Amino acid sequence: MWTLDKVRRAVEDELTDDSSVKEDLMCLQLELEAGDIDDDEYLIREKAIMQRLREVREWREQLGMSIGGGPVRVARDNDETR
Amino acid sequence: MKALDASIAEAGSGSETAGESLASAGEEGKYVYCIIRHQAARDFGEIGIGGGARVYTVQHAELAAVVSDTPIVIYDPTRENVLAHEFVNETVMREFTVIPMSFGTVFRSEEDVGQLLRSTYEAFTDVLEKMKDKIEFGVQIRWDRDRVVESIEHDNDEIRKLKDEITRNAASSTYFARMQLGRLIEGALEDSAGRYVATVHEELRRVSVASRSNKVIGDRMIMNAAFLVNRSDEKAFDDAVKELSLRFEHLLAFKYTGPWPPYNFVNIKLKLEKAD
Repeated sequence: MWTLDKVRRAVEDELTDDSSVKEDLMCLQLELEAGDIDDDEYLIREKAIMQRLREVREWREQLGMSIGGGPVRVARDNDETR
Repeated sequence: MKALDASIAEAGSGSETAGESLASAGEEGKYVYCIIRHQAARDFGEIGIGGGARVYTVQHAELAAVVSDTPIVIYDPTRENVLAHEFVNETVMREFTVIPMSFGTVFRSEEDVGQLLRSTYEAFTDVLEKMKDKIEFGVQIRWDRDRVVESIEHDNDEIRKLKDEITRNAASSTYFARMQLGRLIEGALEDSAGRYVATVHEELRRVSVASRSNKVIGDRMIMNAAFLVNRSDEKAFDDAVKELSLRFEHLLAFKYTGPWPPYNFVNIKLKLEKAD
């Protein structure tokens, strides 16, 4: 049965999953390598994909999920001093 | 183009706070490209990400992180940025065995990078030893679907008969017969893709140490694999790929890339957390 909570979770999964964006990026790169598109067209479409990636990242941050990139450090519980 | 996901930096999930504006003015961090074994400070020149920053090492004992100075930002995986990241790793691996970091790994300070080397010392040392004198090659195979269908229609009796029948009785051939033909062809296509991939894997396994299959990209690709190869077997691997691509010339297109650092074969789970 669908509850509001399930709906919310489904929407969140959709907003925070960047796998389809990454796949689009790889396909775009294939098109460039195959010579189907030129550099100018590539850059225009790449820009749109980067925008989508940023949107996913913002949602992940808002929902307290991990994001790739950005400053990191060794997690404290892993911090064995030698 | 490589997917960089498979390499080693995994941001931990303990990052519950939303980042403030990350590009705080003037703040400098360290972009980390890879880890190598080297005792003395080393300069690799102005080849870094973000327009040619100087690439140098941060040392801890005989380990070194290859880094460049960077503003504290999240790098978009644009082609330009990814190529810069890869170019540094390729340059370094001409001389060293490298453990590549994932694209976009930025630490706040040299001290934090030192902490990475100290806390992961054993795992890095161990993996560097295992990866010593090994390089990675990528092999992607795309097929010419129409040609493969042609060759299937030619070689497969059942399909050939059904097709002849449909062509002969064009008017009366049923929708069902056409559906049946389509299904048979799909099945045969899947079988032959499996056979091609198995053959290629088998031949290349002889001249490699390990292999890994990645998800195929787009609908024409039937294989997207990475192979770990001893440097001393580079020529043999090269020859094997060339022989295979000649053997299947009319049906398959091979795309062969490398040598890469072992992006697909290093799997150290770094416990990194967001540094606010």
